[in-house]
Amino acid sequence: MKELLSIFENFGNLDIGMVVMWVIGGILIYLAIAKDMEPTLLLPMGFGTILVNLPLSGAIGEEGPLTVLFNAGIANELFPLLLFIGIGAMIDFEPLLSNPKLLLFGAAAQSGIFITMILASFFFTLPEAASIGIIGAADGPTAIFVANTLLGTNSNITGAIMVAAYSYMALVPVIQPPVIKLVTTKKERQIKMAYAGKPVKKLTKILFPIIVTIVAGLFAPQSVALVGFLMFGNLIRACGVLDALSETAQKVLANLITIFLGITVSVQMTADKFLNWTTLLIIALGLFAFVFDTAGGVLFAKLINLFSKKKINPMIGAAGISAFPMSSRVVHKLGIEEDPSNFLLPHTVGINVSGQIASVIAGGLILNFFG
Amino acid sequence: MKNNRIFSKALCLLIAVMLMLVPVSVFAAAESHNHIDENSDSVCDVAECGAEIVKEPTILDNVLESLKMFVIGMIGIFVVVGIIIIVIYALTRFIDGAPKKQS
Repeated sequence: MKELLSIFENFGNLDIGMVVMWVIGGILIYLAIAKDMEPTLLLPMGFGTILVNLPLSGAIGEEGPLTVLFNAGIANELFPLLLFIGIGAMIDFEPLLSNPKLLLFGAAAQSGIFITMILASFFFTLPEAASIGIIGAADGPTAIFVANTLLGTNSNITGAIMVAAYSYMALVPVIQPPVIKLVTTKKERQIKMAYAGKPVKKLTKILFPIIVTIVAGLFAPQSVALVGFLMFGNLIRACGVLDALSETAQKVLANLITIFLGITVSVQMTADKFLNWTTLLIIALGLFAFVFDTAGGVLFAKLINLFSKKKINPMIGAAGISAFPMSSRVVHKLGIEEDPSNFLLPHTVGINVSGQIASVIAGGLILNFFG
Repeated sequence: MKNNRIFSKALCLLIAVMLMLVPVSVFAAAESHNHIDENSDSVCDVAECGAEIVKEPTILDNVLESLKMFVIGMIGIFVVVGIIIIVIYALTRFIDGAPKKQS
């Protein structure tokens, strides 16, 4: 009888916080499956959240497999960087290379990072505020890389930062349209833009990732790992002689790392670390970062319109956040809603990839501030 | 459409709350600054004995520092991006040659 009762012993270790975390894990899984919101990340994160919040969970702890994976791939920033090779291989920089000025929009849309950092510095230490601000990079791997580098792996807020970063990336179609509409008039949203893309030579495509790495590395040496891995992935794609490697990076490598990254990130989502007011504040600040990124990009486009004879549709500035390719599609769709004959996609894709580069540079600059 | 409107209102509310927190926090920052100043008198006694004082940054210090980072960070991004733009133009010109004049 005693042996039989010992089966139920672990129930005594269960607390309400763990049950709440199961619900949060369940919500993440629901959003991934039913709402198709970043399922590749939210589903593993959701399941991992349940896994690490079981009493005396064998998945975590000194020799738990998730802790081993965390130390091997996230604590040393390896997983986010490897994922960057896959992302780099997925990106085609041709729209940007045929119209390099688009990079300015990507830069402007990073303003949300720093504005949020200012706001967060009222409540948090400076490295924490910077790590929260980087949610606005709209780029999961960059957020993980910067937060881990600045705060170390034992910080209580890293989990919340990661959840906010990936959740808001998934919520771009919900967050961006109202913000864009708030800061533009109907007339502005109806501005038509012609696309006159020039063909880009292969040599330009090959030299571009190499030169960007050198330039970014000279100005922000801390960004070399981030920019370098992204550009290495792109070089594999652009060179034209490594099609098999490019395909592997885009599919197998990216998928494999995503699986491990998603479930391993959840090590940070134990009830004791996650369930507090700080988490709610970080999630609110993350939304703030996305809102100001979007508004920053649009307002920059409006500023350019003040000085330019050829008017641009200010909505395209919102695509400067690096949530690729979702943001470019959202803005394109909004353009079609306003005027079905307005085809903004070539512009928004160019700006969206600019945002990817600019967000990585922003991450590197922030790391540089802290040495 | 209706959802968007509700979301817009919620968003405005959130921003308003955040903005309201700013003066409150500035006030709190000033208060904590005063506290440190008050405490520093007692620390000064120790300082006279030769101990080294390491003052923790106040909220105001943090905010000022992050403002500085905002300015330098945004200028930094635009400078790096500007150089990349120039490099792309130079690269295109070098590889494609000068654009042909239209007759």
